[in-house]
Amino acid sequence: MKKVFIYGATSAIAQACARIWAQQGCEFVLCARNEERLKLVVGDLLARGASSVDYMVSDARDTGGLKDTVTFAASELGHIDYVLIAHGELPDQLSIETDGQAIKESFELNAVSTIVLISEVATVLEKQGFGCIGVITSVAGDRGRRSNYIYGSSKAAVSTYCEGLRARLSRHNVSLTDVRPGLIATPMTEGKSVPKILLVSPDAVSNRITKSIVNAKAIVYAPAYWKWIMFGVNMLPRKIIDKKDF
Amino acid sequence: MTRDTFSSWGNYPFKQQPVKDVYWQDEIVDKIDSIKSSDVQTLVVGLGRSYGDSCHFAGSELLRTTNLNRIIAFDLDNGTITAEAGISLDEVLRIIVPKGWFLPVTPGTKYVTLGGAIANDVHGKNHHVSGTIGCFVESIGLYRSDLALVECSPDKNRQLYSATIGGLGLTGVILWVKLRLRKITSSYLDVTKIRFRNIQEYFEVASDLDSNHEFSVAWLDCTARGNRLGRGIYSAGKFSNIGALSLHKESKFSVPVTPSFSLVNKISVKLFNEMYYRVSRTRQPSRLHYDPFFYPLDGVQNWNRIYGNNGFQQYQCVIPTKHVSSAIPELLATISRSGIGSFLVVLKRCGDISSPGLLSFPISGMTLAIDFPQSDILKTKLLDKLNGIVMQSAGRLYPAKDAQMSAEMFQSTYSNWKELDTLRDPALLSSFWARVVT
Repeated sequence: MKKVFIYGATSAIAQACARIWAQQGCEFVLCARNEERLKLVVGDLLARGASSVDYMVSDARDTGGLKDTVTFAASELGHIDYVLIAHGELPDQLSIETDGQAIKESFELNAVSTIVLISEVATVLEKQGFGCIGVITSVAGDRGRRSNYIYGSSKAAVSTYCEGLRARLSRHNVSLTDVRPGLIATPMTEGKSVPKILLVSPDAVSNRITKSIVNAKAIVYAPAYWKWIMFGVNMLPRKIIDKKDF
Repeated sequence: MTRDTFSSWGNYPFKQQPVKDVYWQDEIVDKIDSIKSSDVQTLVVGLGRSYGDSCHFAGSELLRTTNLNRIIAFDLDNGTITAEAGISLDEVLRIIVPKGWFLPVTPGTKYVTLGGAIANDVHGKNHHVSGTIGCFVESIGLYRSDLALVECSPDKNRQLYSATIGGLGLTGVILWVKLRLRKITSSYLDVTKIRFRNIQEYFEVASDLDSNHEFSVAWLDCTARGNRLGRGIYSAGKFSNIGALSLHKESKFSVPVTPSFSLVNKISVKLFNEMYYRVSRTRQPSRLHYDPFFYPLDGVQNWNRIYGNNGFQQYQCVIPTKHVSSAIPELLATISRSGIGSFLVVLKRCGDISSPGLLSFPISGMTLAIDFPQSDILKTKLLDKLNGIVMQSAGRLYPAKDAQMSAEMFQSTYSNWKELDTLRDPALLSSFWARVVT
């Protein structure tokens, strides 16, 4: 019975992944900010086959408390096989791009808290000598773009951090998967103007994500074709991308 | 800008409505509370399998609940499931079938939400022995703009409970449902198919076999005339004791785009019906998985697109027992004379188990459902005539399918409509309701 720790368990992608693990009878510790919602997820996973689900309410903005959540998870589960870190928030670029304080807060949530959490988890897994960590970043981190460079650069920070940490963890039999979702139909993209043809449901990527984490992949795009979309975006000459609003 | 638009299954009346996805029950609460003080109204939709305008809102935005798909409790021993209303029956089956449980009643598609199934009080091939799905609803969590959260059951808030079953989503937002399930030992059914040469022969076959088969339904060739009028294939089944508790698989086939014209026309219908009538294997019993037995149309995703840009209407009526032998042949004759028809014509007996639902569609007798490609002359050339026969024989139409009945027809055939209108949540209104009530 695999043991799973999920931070940001009420996120749509995390729920979809957790359901797959629940069907396999995994044991869980879940963390999220909103207790009422978290309880709904707990009940859902139990009904879908999870053998046990514990939870702890946690706000990632309180980075000082993150060590406690990891300690709680490790002691409840005994050991941790899989970790999924999925919290985050898409800021409204236009309304915060000239507001330094808002940019700082967005970075603290999307970059700093995630990095702190990964580092706490890494310490535990390194010690136990096995385990798989998955972190949800974004294709937005691949290149800074006019429409979302604040979100994008915070995700890029996490990706670069993972790149280095992966090298350290690989010597301890611990994997670190950088999951870069494209456009997923979640509350994050709700109400946003997005090309419908590229929008997929969390259920359409959850299999790929869980498999990549379990199989210790380094970087994975979800859906897979985003690798090629981002390849194209990265190839665009600066002269063109500077004039584009996307 | 919104992410998505929503149209009804029949694409008639055609309306692409902006839709907002909700992910949590508390979002519904906030939304309903926020519109309470204003004069605007909203409507909640699910997977959009209602054919007509009961899933259309006259205003500016719909709320879609398909992400409210969490299970709250699954009682393995007693066979009840409590789940958020946006969960699809497809998903419910994936959870309950491996544990030896099945839906007590299922419509002809598994791609409907649990909430939608309750709001339309759906029936299935076992209506003659089990009644509608409403008969198996133990309790409902309803959120209303005036009363907030109301838990309704046969013992608690009974009035709202009855109004919500078959209440077309107008009595409040269904947040969750507790449903009683049916035990199975296998995913397979023992199925008998019998070819009948005309409608009289159908009546004989059905009265012979309906009573000892839990599930039964008939397909009819709507183009046949004269002494072949109402010929077709009768199929009946019961859950087998043999076979694994295996799950269905997702269909790989899909109609990828909507053609500009309908692929359903006189020639294609005549050809298909002739073939289907002749080629179907009959007489020897066979064992069939529940998926092809209950959900043959789910095998092709987006099949509604074959009707092209104009869309289609499904006409579903129920005729009370004492008028069945006269009205059903008359309806069939009128349809075949018109030359309008399609592949899908379904005839099914309804039993006398009454639903708790105030506006539940089935009455003891027989229900006929047929798809018609939409055209300008459909209503005047055919539907008005069918409406006349239905009215004369004290029958009525299924609101979930309807896009055409008049306010007079609705009000005279659903005598409880006023009661439902009184219990309607003022924050909720559909185009259908606005059409048939005013």
